[in-house]
Order: sequence, then structure tokens, then C-alpha cells
Amino acid sequence: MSQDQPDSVNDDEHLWRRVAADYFIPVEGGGMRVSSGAWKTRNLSLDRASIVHSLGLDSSFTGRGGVGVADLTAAEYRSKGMNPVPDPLPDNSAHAIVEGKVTNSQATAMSRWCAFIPNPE
Amino acid sequence: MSLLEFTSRWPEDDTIDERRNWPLGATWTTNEYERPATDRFGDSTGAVPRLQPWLRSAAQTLTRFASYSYNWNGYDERPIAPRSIDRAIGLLRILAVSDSPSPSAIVPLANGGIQLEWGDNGDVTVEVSPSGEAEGYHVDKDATWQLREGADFSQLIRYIAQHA
Repeated sequence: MSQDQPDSVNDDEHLWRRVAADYFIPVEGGGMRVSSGAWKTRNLSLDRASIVHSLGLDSSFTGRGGVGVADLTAAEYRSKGMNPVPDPLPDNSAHAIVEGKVTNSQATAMSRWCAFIPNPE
Repeated sequence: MSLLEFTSRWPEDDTIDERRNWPLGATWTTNEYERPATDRFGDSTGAVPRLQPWLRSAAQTLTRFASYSYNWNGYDERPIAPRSIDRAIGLLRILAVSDSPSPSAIVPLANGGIQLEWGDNGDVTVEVSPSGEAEGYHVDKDATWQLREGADFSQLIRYIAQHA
């Protein structure tokens, strides 16, 4: 997988993170939410949706192995002090990263703001 | 008693020992497991403790995490540490005798720890590290506090009650 890409992530870019089944939580009274635990890590890995799409792929590229993806913009990450930067990998040119440890406050905000995109049936 | 022993010895019908009000066959070997009954604010009532039925399903969830090996979600996650599982069940046992509600979520963490959550939005969380250290977090207050073994859990119990 290879693709030319800019050296920064624009604010309006959508960034995807895989949601494991364990993080997809039923809410009393109906509905589901994504646990903040999905973001609690060091050096948070994300995929840039625009690059995934440009390769003819969809969110299942990121969501494979999980139940779907959590979708947030780069601006939303930056509003909580997290700065996504490009980090292309040999097998994933869409890869981006937020360096450092994600705090409780940051992880909670992402879990409350994210849109969930389920994997195709 | 290990977590596996705990879950395997829990009676199928949640039968409670009349003398101790513990599940039949259960014994408790650490301070966390032998705490006296507390009311919803963590104050001792002098009553015989009674476990909440949700503790069984919580223990089964934690048992499942014990099988998670490296890279369990594809982001280079560490295996879930046995010490974090043991501490999580210890904390839940305390809460199970304090009239606290079931956690809304119990999730594994990338560092090999466990996160316990209460409230529909995960408003109160307890993060247990791979070494078994526990830290509470209240989202609205953006406040954290340590939960050492043998410590006063009244603050956590109060916060959980507020978000139940």
C-alpha cells in the first residue's frame, strides 16, 4: 500500500481508530457507546480516512478484527491537546500517530465525541 | 484463592451461605476480601456482608481477559496482566458488599491493565495497572485519586452512587 501524502494532517481530516468488541458498550435504555479505554495508550495509532478512500478502501480496512471504527476529526483531537501527525508504515500509508500518553480527560472526550462506523456485515 | 478458583466455585444458583452470606464454598484470603459490610457511603454497618449477583458475571469477564495475548486488538497491546485481574476482582468484591451497582463496563487496556466504569457515559472509572495499582477518575470533576489496598473507598462508593 503506497500513496503520496502531505506532511501534515489537516484539521478537517477524519481519523479512524479500530474499536474492539470489548470497547463497544451497551447503554441502559438502548444504544451503544465506545469506552474511553479504546484511546488509553501511548503513541495512539490512527488511520487517515482520506488516504484509505483514495486507495479504494473503506473503514473496514481499519476496523478489521474489531466491530468498527471510531471517527473523529484532527481538529477534535487537537482541541484536547493531541496532535495527529503522518506516520506512514510499509503496509499502511494512511497511518498517523499521536505521540505521548493519552490522559483520562483526553480519552474521555474522544469517547464522548466520536462517531461510530460499524464494519460492513 | 485465585480468580479461576473463585469463579469455578461460585454456585450455579448464586446460593448464599446463611451463616456468612458469602457464596457457598467461598473463602477470602486478603484484607480486601474480608472487609466488613459497609453502607453506600463506605461506613461500617456491622452487618454481615452480602455479595451482589453482578460480581459473578464481572468475574467471568475478567477471566476471559486472562487469555488475551500480545497484540489482542492489533495495536501492539500487552497481554492482560494477572495482577491487574486479581486486583480488579478484589476491588469489585469490596464494592459488591457496599450496595454498589454493577460496573457499566469492564474493559482491557493496551498496557495490560483493566478499566472499570460506572455510569452510562463511563463517568466514574477505576484504572488498574498491570502491577495492580488502582487509580480512580471522576470525569466531571477531572479528578484522580489512588486506591491503595486497605484504603478508604468511601469517595469511590459515593461517586458511583451519584452516577448509578
